[in-house]
Amino acid sequence: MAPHHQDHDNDRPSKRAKVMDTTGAAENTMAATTVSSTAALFQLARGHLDAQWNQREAVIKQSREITRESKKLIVMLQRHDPKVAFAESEMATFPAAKAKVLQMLSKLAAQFKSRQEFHRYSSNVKHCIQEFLEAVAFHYFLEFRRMIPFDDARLLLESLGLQLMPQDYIMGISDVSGEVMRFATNAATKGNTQWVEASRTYLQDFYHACLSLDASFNENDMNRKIDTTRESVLKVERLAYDLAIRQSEQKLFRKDLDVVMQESTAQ
Amino acid sequence: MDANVQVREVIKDRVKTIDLQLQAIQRRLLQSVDDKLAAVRSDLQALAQLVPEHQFYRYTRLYTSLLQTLCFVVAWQTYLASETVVTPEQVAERIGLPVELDHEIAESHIPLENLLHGLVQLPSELMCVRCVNCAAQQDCDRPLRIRAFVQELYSGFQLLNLKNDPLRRHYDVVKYDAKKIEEVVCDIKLRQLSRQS
Repeated sequence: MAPHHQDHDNDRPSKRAKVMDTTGAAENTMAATTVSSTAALFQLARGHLDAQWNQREAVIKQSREITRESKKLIVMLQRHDPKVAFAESEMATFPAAKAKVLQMLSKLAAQFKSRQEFHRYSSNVKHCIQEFLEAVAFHYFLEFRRMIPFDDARLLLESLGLQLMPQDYIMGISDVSGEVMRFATNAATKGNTQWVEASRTYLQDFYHACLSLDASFNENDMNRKIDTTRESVLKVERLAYDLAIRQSEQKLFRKDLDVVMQESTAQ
Repeated sequence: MDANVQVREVIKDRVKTIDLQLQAIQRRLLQSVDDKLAAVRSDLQALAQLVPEHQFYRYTRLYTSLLQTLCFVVAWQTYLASETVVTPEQVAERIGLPVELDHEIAESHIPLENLLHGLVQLPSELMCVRCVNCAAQQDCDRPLRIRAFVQELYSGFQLLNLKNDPLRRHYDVVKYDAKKIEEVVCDIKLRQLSRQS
């Protein structure tokens, strides 16, 4: 970083004073009055800017933590075994983890003194809200096998003191497709056709919903996310197809096996 | 969300009209521009009406540079009139929106940063337009007063703890402008061209 010229500038006041003395007295008095009010303005500005900077730093820090914790929630959800009922299983720690994130969000919301303040920091907070929404939406999918409605999500966030912007909702939901795809893949390896089916239906419906979005939705990321969603849809469709083929193969195989067994026992 | 997009579009349109008017003002700033400013002020009020309640910062990106230019125009005007640094009260009065200082304002207002951005553009404008021309036209007292004025602004900005943002970059430019003005003044003094040396 370039050396700060502060020291050099501090020499100037003395030089400046000497030069100023040789100029008219009238100029001095006029300068004095405006200087004091200007200085006052900048003192005020400094306090204002410093406070804003500090708050922004705090918000960013909290946002990062919330994002991290939300990601952990998602990992927990991925490990859930779909065959077991949702309320039981290894998800015992999930409610506590989720409560922790909710609390962090409330704390973040408390930073904003008003609804307007939220918008001032919305760009800093956007990412963690989206990540949290992703976790919530994924949870919702696992419980109800469909997409969490906007109003539900919005009410949840407002109960914490935050606001849900439609863009954040859509961005958060889009990331869920990736998670659903991963979940479906795991389910497929365990031969769980039900969940593969549910995932496929969900993803197809979601993808169609994405396509109906207005093109003026001005997030560049969104196009990338839609492409990723499409990839997920294709993968899960492929999975469903493979499973179906394998299962009918197995049925045929079993039929043939029965025939062979019958023939061999008959002999 | 479509409503959001609509609001954005309307705001963008309004901003463009106001921008054009401001550019016209800037080019003709040597003459009286009060009537133009009045037109801008009413347009700005209309703009302020468009912004939904409590969502001023949601759309702030659309009109922040507009507000900065506006503050600059008012500051320039004030300097031409009285050679003083414009006060926030004067800005609020001329533009028709309150300036956000120490307490929060719920309705449309001028964020303090925009005022600072406006002020920070003054020194280079003074340098380019006034200082050198004055010296060339044998008006050798002006540069001295300009120097004092710019020093006042500059020491004000020095009080701030600026981070690595656009305001900081503008402020760095002010340093160079202050130095150049100093050089012009030096030239004048050396040749004892000013009545006051």
